[in-house]
Amino acid sequence: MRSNSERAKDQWFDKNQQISNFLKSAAEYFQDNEDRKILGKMIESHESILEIFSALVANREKNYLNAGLVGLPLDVEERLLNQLNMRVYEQVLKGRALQESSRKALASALKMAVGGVVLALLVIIVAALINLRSMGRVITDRINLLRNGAAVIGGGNLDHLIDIKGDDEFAELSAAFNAMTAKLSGSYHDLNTEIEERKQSEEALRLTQESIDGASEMVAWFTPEGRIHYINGATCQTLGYSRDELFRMTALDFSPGFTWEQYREHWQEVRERKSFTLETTHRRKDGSEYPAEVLVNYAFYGGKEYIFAYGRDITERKKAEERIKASLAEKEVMLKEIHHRVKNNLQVISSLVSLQADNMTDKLMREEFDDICDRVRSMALIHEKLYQTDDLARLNFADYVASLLHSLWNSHDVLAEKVRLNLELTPVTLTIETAVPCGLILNELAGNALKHAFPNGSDGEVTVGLENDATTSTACLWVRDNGVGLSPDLDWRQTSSLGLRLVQILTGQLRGTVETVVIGTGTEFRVTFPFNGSQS
Amino acid sequence: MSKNTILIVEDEAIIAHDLASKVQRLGYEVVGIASTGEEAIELSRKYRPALVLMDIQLAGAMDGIEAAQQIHNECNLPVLFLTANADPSTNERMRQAGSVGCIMKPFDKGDIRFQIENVLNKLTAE
Repeated sequence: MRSNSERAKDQWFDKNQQISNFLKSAAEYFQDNEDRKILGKMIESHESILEIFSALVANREKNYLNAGLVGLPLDVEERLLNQLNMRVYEQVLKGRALQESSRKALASALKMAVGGVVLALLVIIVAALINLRSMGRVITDRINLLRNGAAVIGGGNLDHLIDIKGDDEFAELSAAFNAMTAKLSGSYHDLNTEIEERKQSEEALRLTQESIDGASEMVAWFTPEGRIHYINGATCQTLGYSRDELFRMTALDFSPGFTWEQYREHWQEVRERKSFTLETTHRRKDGSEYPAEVLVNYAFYGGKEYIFAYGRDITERKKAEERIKASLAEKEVMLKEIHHRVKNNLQVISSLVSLQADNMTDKLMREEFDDICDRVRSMALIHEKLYQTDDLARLNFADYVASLLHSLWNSHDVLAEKVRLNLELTPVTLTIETAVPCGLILNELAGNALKHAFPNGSDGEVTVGLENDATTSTACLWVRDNGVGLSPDLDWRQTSSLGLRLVQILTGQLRGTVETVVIGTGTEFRVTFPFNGSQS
Repeated sequence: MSKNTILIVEDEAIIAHDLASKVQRLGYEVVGIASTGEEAIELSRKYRPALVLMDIQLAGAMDGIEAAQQIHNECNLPVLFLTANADPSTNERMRQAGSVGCIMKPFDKGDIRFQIENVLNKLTAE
């Protein structure tokens, strides 16, 4: 087992070795010359310490093993110990010197480092300040531009543009601001236009309202429940109620004899027809009634139905209508009386001629007088037919043709017994101006056919036709017989026969044409003429 | 009452005489010419003709239809009307007054003969 002194000696050498290693590595680490010099001396001292301590240990170990032997003298050992202490002390002093040198170097280094940092910081701060100032000026200018521009725009000048160029946020903000201003300007313009239009609309509405309020015609709006939604002054004035009174009333209150059932039916009709005019009776507040004409219009606004009614008192118009109707009826009676008298006078003329003929012994002369009677009768028949029509100015000429020919056939009964009469008539309405000459022409042509186409009592047929052409507004009256026909030597246009001369004269009066068509042995006369009437 | 006697009632004298001439030519006897309704009634009572030719429009207060009605009621004589106008209401009045026919003015001898013979033959047959 090892003794304490041996363990202490080993520890000392270990520590000594560690210190030696430390000093050597420190000598390599330190760069400063002074430090390196101190370290060099410390390494030398440490080696001296090792040598001295080793000598002391060896001396002690030697004394311990060779008891009784005398080693180094005590004074030498004591001197060695003193040297050892001196060396240790020197080491301590050198360590302190090294510490001081290192501290100073560190302080110097720190001082230099701090100075650099401060300088760098100062440079940075100054640069930053300069930069900040420069940037601040730029930013301030741009902000001012923005602020001033905003002030101008805020003052109402929406055409103002903020002129900031570049690619920074201010330029983008300026562009956005300008775009917004442009939009705002457009919106402002639109708004102004709309405001102006609204003003005009409101003005027009006000004028319309005033014109309706002050209109002479009654204006009222009714609801399906019969309530009055609006009334103008004329309504109040005409009915004799105040506006408030009317608002508390229903339509039936001033519509005598009008039931709710009828009112609902009326509404249904208005919904279907949308707009129409009707005549009704209104009752005033004093109970008196008057006829009214009302234009009703259906309206649907805001989910509600209305009847817009425009009414007027038509008392005077009704009276005027009655006067006109009475006057018209009176004139119709007078006109009928005139037709009657004309016809009667024609009968008198016919009778005069007939009475004159009664005294004639000459057969030919009697026939001439009978022809006159036929002509007079053809004219009288026009008045008879006119008398029977409603308008007293136009007649159904087809009906007239049938009557005239039957009368003609009756008056020439002996001849007519063997001559068959056929009619092919299309209804044509003619005025009296056209009908009278047409009647005379027909009388001549049919009379000629009856009296001359079938000599010696021979049988035959006479066909009379009436046609009309709506596209040319012309009518054609034709008389066809299957008798002996016109003589080839006869130019009927040059004949002295009064009947055929009358046909030409009257056709000319009608501004028409007459032509003959030879059909087999018979003859057909066709008279075409314009007319202002119509097909019945 | 002769079956060939005829009373003419017409306020227009010329027409009345023309009609009388035509009737006589046809072989009938004209018992009288009246120009008013009252006169027609009186002559009807007096002569009792086989037929009365009656114009509708007459002088005086009474028209031909009223006179015919009375003649029909009192004397039961057939009346053949003469008219220039034959509207539906007039036709109805004529029918109610016992009319047996109507000759339209202006008349012609063929129509007169046909109408008179038609009426008288019918009455004879009855």
